[in-house]
Amino acid sequence: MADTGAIDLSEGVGSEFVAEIRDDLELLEPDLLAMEDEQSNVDAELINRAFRSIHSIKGGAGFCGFKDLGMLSHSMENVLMRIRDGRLHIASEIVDALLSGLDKLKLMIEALDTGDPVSFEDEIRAFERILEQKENIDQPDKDQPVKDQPDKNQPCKNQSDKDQPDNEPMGKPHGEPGGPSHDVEMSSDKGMAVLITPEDSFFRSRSFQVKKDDVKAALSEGKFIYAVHFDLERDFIKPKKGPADIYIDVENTGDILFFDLERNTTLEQLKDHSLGVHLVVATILDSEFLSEVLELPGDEICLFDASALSLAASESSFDSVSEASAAPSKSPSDLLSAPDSSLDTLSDLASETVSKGSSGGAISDSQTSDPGSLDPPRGQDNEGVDRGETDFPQQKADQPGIVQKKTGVEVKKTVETIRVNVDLITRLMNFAGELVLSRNQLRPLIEAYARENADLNSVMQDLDMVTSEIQEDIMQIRMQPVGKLLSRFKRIIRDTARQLSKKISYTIEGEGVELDRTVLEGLSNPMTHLMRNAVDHGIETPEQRSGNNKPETGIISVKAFHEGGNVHINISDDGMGIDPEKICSKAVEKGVISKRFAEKMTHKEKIDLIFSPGFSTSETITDVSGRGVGMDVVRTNIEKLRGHIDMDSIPGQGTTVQMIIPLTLAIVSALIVGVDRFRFAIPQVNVSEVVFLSAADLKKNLEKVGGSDVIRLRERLLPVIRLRNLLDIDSFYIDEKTGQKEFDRRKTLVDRRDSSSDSFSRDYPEEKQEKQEKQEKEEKRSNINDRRQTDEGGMYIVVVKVGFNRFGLCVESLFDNEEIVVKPLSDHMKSCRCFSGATILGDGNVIMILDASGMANHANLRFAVVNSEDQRRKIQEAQRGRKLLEGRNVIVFSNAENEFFAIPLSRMVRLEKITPDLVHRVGSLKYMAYQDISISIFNLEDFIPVNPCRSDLEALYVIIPRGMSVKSGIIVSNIIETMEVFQIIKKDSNTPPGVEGTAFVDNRLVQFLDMEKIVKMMEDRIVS
Amino acid sequence: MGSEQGDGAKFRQFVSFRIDGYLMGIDIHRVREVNMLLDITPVQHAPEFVRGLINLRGQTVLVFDMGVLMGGQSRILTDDSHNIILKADDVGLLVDHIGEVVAVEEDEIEALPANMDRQTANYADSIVKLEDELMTIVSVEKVLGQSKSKPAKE
Repeated sequence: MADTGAIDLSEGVGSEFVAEIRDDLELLEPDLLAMEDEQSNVDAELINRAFRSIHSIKGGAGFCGFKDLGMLSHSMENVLMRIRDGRLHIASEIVDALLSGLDKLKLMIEALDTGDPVSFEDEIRAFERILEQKENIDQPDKDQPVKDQPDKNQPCKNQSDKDQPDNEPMGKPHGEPGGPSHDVEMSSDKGMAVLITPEDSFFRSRSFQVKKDDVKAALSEGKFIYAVHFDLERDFIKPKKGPADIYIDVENTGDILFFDLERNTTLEQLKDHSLGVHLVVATILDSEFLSEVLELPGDEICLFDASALSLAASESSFDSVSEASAAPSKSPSDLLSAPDSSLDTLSDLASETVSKGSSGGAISDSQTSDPGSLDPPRGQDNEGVDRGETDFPQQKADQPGIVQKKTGVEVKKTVETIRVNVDLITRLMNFAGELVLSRNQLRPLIEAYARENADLNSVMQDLDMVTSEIQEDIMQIRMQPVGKLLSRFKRIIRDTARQLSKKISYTIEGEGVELDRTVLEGLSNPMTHLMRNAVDHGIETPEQRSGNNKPETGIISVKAFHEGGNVHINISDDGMGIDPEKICSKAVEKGVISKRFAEKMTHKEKIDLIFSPGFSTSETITDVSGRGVGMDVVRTNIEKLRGHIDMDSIPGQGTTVQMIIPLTLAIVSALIVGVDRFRFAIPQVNVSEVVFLSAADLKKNLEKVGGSDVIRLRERLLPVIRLRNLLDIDSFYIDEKTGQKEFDRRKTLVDRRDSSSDSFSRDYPEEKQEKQEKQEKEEKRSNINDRRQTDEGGMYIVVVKVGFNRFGLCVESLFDNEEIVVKPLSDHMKSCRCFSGATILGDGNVIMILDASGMANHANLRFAVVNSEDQRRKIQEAQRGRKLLEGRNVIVFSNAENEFFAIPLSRMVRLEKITPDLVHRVGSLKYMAYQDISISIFNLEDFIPVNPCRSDLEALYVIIPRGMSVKSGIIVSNIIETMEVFQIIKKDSNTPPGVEGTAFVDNRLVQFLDMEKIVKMMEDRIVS
Repeated sequence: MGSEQGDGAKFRQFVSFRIDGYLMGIDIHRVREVNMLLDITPVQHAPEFVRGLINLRGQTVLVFDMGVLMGGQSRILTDDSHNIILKADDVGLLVDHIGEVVAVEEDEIEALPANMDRQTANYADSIVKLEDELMTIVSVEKVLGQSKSKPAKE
């Protein structure tokens, strides 16, 4: 049932309306959810807003001729109307229905382009049921039945207009009682507007007369207008300030539109006839900040609503105000009659109030020199009950997007907005970036001439400032409050929780924190995943929770805040947390890590395993999460945004995910490094630190683990990559003169030889070092022309973060940090994995931006190997000075009774069980048949001074050691077990050759054999 | 820059340039500009024919080495070297020598001869006989398609 005959979407107007309908839908969802939360004591404002949203959706649909949309939204409106009129109680089922209706509306909007029909009969029926259900309870319904949705051109308008007089005092243009209120009146003459503070504010309903032009100017500058009160005792007498001081204080924050007093009034004069001073100020500060600056309690500052103000300030506003306010009550029009009266009347009123000595505080009318500073309060009888009902911003309910979500006493801040094509902004932002760069290039050039012509300096400074501000503002355009994204999760959490019968409350903190819209978009998916995880795996069922002495309702809270130029978003839940052991065993099971490695991991490291690729702990694959894409995808997504994600958890208490996100993608702070004559940028977010290693340090600390170079940096192993090698700088060298690419063959050879030596299992530091030195020399030779290399022959190692892994990037020179504009790489450079983009430096040169994970991949860094080696070293470190068999699997056996030996499993090929009669003696030598050949076998006592093997055994074992040139075996009497040992092996002067040392394993004194030596002794024996 | 010449639209104009002495041409409508921004930042791991990036008034432009594209050596920078910046893709072509704009009657533009070697067919699409010389016309599409067909240099 696609809407046909709807107006062509390609026309500007149509798409504009569609966009507005979309906005309204977006606004509606959080309101519906909030309604559900608060159930019976739901704020009337909330319902009204929801109502208004759906109403304007209906209006828009009617205008554009989208019949389906109109019909469905009409049904929803009917339900909402009942709720608003108190004839229907909010229940989860109703919200469910409304939400599913909302989803359908969204679908319909999406389907407008494709023309696909969207069926919505189910929803309509659900609404009908809801309405019927309550039919008997409620009074007869005056609303039109749902079904007879008219297909007239403007069905919605008629509909709502009909409804309004009967059912509701407030249709779309009206506010509601009890909501924040703020009245603005204007006197039509003399360009003055009267601002009236709300009845329920500190000021009571006090009115201030200000110049319309001032209001207009303030609004056009995006300023807020506040009424401010200074107390005589607190603000003047105590701090010993005069009105002039106060005036200056306030003027520092913005423009004063209205002031009770003359500036030169003395304190004494003031004391005589007033308890305080009122003024109206236009400032860019928000109310919280203003109250802090002026050191006033928050309630003594009252914000006037911007849209009401703009209305007041606009020429034709008068009529529209009276019209809009007419419906709810008579009073606004009464009030509006006041402006008709001349200023004289107003001042009469004012003096009248003074003489009454009424609420508003003292007024010093005698001193007003300017009519604008008069303080004409309205008569008490005019205000009161009605005041709250005039919700001016809603007069523009047909302009969605100006209605903000925040409820509460604070007056809504409404700012005028326009729709702008995102591409345009992107282009604008690029240009702004270029402008900044051009400015940077210009600066040094100008400086040369500035000595001769001093004027240039000031021009340059102006340019400087304007450029920076343009850039900032344009960046600001792209910024969107994170709350927009965060509130979207409310729905996801709600739905998921209901599906799983869990009770969850979702709190948001810091929704005002702003992020670049691309970043926000990029966050949507990973955060959805995190939220689902929190609901599915984090929060327990109510039964489980109450069993664990937790409140039944779980909490998922999101907090966004600025820190260090980044935005932090923390998601925490108070659920069951993550059991590191469970994670760990799962990881072992899935082969992500080895068991041996797992045992040495810290709590945090185990939790971090959750980010490993292909990892999902969910026992059963639920509908909600665990579809195979796991936290590794989340991490990848976050890292794409140049962000960082971290997770911590206390089992039983909850989980916290911390994300650190850069404000914007387009401009990043980067460290500029150099290799040879090339420069490269590394985004600061990826840089953890920079260390300088002298040539000597380098020699001492550099070694190979698992095929990669590593250095030891503060007792931690760090794989290192030479940027020179990584990028094949040497092979890449293009001779400026010949244009030939030159290859350095020697260099390649060194590389080849080096990578062949993988000495992970045993380390010969001396040998290594030698090799390293050799390499160092080679390197030196090949780099002989490298002017940029530091004099000492040392290197800068930039410690680069990739996820929670780090590697060192050896560079030869360091330059400044620069703010760079990232230029994406074109398709022609797809093969350049190491770069994420290019940029133009302040000096006009183009340089490449290095991509941390791309480099790690390209260099084939095996972090796991290095990490496990690191673990091993740490343990070794902890037992400094003593030798440790590093958790090797050994076989423990006995020869003579109660004399135990061990050899590493890795040192043996095979274990044979034989009977004594299979042993053949030839002279002093013994032989046995093994795999069709005869091999010589030995007793341990042949090599080392131990008690001889028992000869009365029915079965013997023969261990065939690995690595023998001639196969032979060792006879032992009994195999005790194979096990993993971590014990420290003690060696002293009594330890015979062939024995590594001794240790107590399971209360046995075990001699660890030095297989190296024993094999040698055996071979010697065979040869001789 | 228009192709109007004399009696209407029968003419096409080509920016002529030379690679190792060979005369080449490129449709003027495909050219954004010609410049001498020869401070080219090499891009490691990029395909062989990519000479590097230049800064064209704040935009990065990828410069292809026309010599390599034609299967020859990479260009040696001289005082005569120029970049022909294409309108498409932010790509420029590094050439040895830039010549005049040559107006050619459309009839004179011939398809590549069938016996043309494959290397030439990789970047050219037609040929023009001038008075004393042949001018090979570079196909912008083929040039820009290079990165898809040529494997990356390891």
